[in-house]
Amino acid sequence: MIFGDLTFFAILAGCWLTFHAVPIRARPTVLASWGVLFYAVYAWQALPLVLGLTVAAWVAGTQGRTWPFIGAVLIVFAAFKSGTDAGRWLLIGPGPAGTAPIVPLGLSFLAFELMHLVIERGRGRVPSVPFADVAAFAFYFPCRVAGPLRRYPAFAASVAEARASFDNVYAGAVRVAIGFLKKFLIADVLASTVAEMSYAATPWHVWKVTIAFGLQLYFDFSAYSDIAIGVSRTLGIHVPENFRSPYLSANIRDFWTRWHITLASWVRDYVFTPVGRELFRTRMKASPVSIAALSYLAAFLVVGAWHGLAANFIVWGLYHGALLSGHHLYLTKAPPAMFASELYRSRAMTGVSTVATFLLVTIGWVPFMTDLPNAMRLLSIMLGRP
Amino acid sequence: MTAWLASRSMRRLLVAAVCLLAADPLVARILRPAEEARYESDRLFRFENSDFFALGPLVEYLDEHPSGARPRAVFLGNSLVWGYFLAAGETLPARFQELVPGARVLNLGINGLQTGTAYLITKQIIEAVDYVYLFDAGPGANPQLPQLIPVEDADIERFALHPPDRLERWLEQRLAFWHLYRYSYRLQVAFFGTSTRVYAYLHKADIFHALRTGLFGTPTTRGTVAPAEPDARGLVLEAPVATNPPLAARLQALADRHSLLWDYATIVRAHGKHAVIVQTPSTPHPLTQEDRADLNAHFHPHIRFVRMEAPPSLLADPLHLNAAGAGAVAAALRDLTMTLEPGSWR
Amino acid sequence: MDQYTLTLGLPHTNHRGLGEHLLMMHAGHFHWLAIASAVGRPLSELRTLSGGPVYATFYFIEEHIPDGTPLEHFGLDDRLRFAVWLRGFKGIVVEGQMLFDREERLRAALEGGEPRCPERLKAAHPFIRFANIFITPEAGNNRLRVAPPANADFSGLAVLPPDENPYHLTKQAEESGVLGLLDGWERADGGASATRIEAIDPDRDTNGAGLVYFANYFAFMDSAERHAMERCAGRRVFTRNDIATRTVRQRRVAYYGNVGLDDSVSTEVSLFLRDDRPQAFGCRYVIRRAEDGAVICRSEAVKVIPA
Repeated sequence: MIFGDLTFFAILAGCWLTFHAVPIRARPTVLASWGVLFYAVYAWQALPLVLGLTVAAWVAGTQGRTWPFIGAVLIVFAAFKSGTDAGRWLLIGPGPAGTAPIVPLGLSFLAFELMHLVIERGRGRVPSVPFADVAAFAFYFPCRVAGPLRRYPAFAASVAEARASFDNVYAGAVRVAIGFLKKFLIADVLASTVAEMSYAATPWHVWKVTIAFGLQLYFDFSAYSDIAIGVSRTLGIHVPENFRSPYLSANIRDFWTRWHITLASWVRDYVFTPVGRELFRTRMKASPVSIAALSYLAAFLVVGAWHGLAANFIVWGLYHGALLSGHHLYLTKAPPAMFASELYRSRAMTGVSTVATFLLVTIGWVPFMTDLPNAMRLLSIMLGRP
Repeated sequence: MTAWLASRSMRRLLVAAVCLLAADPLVARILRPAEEARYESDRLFRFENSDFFALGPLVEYLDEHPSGARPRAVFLGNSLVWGYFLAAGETLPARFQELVPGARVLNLGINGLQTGTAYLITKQIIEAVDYVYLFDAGPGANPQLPQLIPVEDADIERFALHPPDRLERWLEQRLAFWHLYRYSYRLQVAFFGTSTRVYAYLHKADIFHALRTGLFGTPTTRGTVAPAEPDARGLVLEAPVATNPPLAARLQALADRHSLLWDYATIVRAHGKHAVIVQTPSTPHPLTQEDRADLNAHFHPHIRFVRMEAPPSLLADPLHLNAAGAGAVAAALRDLTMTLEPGSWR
Repeated sequence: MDQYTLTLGLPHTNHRGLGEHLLMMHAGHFHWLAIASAVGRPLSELRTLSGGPVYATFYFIEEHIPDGTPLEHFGLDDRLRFAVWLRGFKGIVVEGQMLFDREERLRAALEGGEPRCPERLKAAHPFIRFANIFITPEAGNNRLRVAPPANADFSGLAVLPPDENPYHLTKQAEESGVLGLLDGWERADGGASATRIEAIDPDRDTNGAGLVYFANYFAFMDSAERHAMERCAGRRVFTRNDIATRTVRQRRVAYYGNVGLDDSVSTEVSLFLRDDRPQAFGCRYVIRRAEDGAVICRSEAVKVIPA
């Protein structure tokens, strides 16, 4: 775990001291330099690739070549996420023969962040950006391991406004400590239960393992976000929140405003909304529900593929797309009187729908946590049909 | 200065720093009795959940305490030694401990452990132990071992291990003055026998009771009645010794063909200790009877190479002993040890 | 300073020229002659206070052979001149520094009659340093006790300063396992040493004192080194020609004990390489006696394979 290494703390300490010692205009250079050092220490084989993507993003943004850049990023992304040997030629140094290369550190996050920057540059919403600022955005190491996904304008403003203060250091340290506690005391303990998946053979055991997986994934992932947010806070830089008690969601749409918030909002802005907008220009505009369904499916196909180009992740993504489509259909077609009723708005009903949402999300974790054949086997055990 | 202290965050950071500083000297004082209770008493020791977390702390402890109140015997091997299918008290090392209360027996078995790993562990602990019982399951070594215990560069290369991160090690050494950081793993093993998370996982149903017992419970007291000798019918434990010392050319051939076992025996003998190296039907490329006899003659009285074969009545499956088997093998090893050094284990 | 001459013949040479262990036999003999001359009686007459035998056993030897004068440079009928300078420490230790070369090269350099071995000559001519300690055997070859001779006069010897006594180096090597010649070298054999086992032949391997002769340890090391080079499969694979043409440049040997006449010795050899000396390789030797596994000799050598 990189965040637990003393090397990481040494890099952070060095970054903190230099970041607050230089003039504000030099801060992006400092962040970029420490980010490059971070990559050199933890993922040196991928350094030229990441540097290349960053340069390409800057050039593409400057010259308005949005689609070629997106195409190139998607090809690189596919090469690594497909789990084959295809990405090896993009790395320096040999890897173990016959094995797929490990995805370069944070490639998923980096790809989406750079695509966002280039798209916004193309739309004219982000003015001309010096290369140092693009590099600082791309190589920002606290968020490189596991997000959150950032947006360039907010990040650039936060870097410029960052102050060195005890309040920031203290608040950041507390957030980091919370993250470590979540990871080591909760997530890692749950991981041992999840490991029982290999021999779980009764419905209760499979449910137990799957619920443990869902909780472990939340505590683990949110811990990484806490640490990234906390580390950034010590620098005085604010990065967006990524989780907001997702398992207390009352419905699936609510869930996706609380779980991996930054990915969901990225997909909303760059897949769901554009797809919907394009479909509204076609004959399908007569059926907004169909447009919504297709948009959700397209968006969550991307969400699934972002996690991995394998059947199980695609199935998981489409499952959530289907749930969201169903929820949208339900909202549009259910009688309005139902929503106004006291029972519907009671706390008991909220509780029931929260539990139902939790169970639906939990079922969705089955294909997420293992390959598809094994997932089918576990699902059939879960549903009482071994 | 006053402005700084006016900040609540600064005051909290100062309080936290002062608390950590004040608690730091206590860490070593808490650690000592906890480790004595874990390693020197009759409390059963094995790698909980068959994971290596406790290995580093144990090696450090033995390095700092090269002699204990009693002679030390360690069992090294795979799941057979660890005691797959068996409760901690039924395993081979636990039964051996019952038979030799005059020694402190440690179960260093772990699933999948091979002789390469055992060799590297032995190199680190041989000064602090008197007897080693090694069950040979093949020549491999765990590639992650250098992350847990010190391993020489030559051995990292020889066994193709993952080298430790040198920068991380350097930083850890700089931070060694902070006792809470330095001893965090040792504290966990001393209190729980394993990492906190594995302990919490294993005892999640009864964690409060387990914590009370683990932290404050008294070590197991020995019974006054010696356990009954187990039935060893059908158990084969062969340790022949050639009557004529083998010629140099013969020894050369053995050293070339079984270099790891030769090096293992050499290390043990060089430190004046004793080892029993057991091969079972599942050991790959085992010694022949003649090999065994010649090696035993050459390394006498320090090393004994043994062939063990247990009948089905003593086995839980082809690779593991059942409770009766563990008892029978423990008794047979105890008897064999006395032939190496008469008067030991009394 | 004492001087001796030796005309090389078949007893001093092997198929390649002056053999290292053969050189040691004769250089060691000259060293002993020099000690006998300095203490005023033959070494075979040395006795303890109680009349027991005393032997001047080697505990440390160091060689330095310049590139221009490898041992193989010397062949049949070459007339060599040996010059020996002795120093002593409390009648327990005698250290000798020895230079040798073809007589015509060394005669002029030695005309000054220097009281100490000149540093400038050490770099130009083969140099050997011997250190002896006086011992008496208490219970066979395996139990040797330090025993200064009671019937020898050491007053004529220059004083060996304590900080130049190689005893410290041998003591440190006993614990650390290194003699300092191979610092910064990397393993060539993938981390796996090779062991060669050799039975002691009482007729071949002993000297007049009944001990296994110190020079034979060089022969044990040579054959173990050959065994290791044949098996080396790490960073370097040695060809037959490499093994046949290798020649020593530097060596340090530390002796800790001796071996019984009916015992065997096992010599463990580790091979080393260094990037900035592609023609060179290093060897580290550990010699143990089979009876109890005790380490009786450690050595390190730097050798060269000529291009």
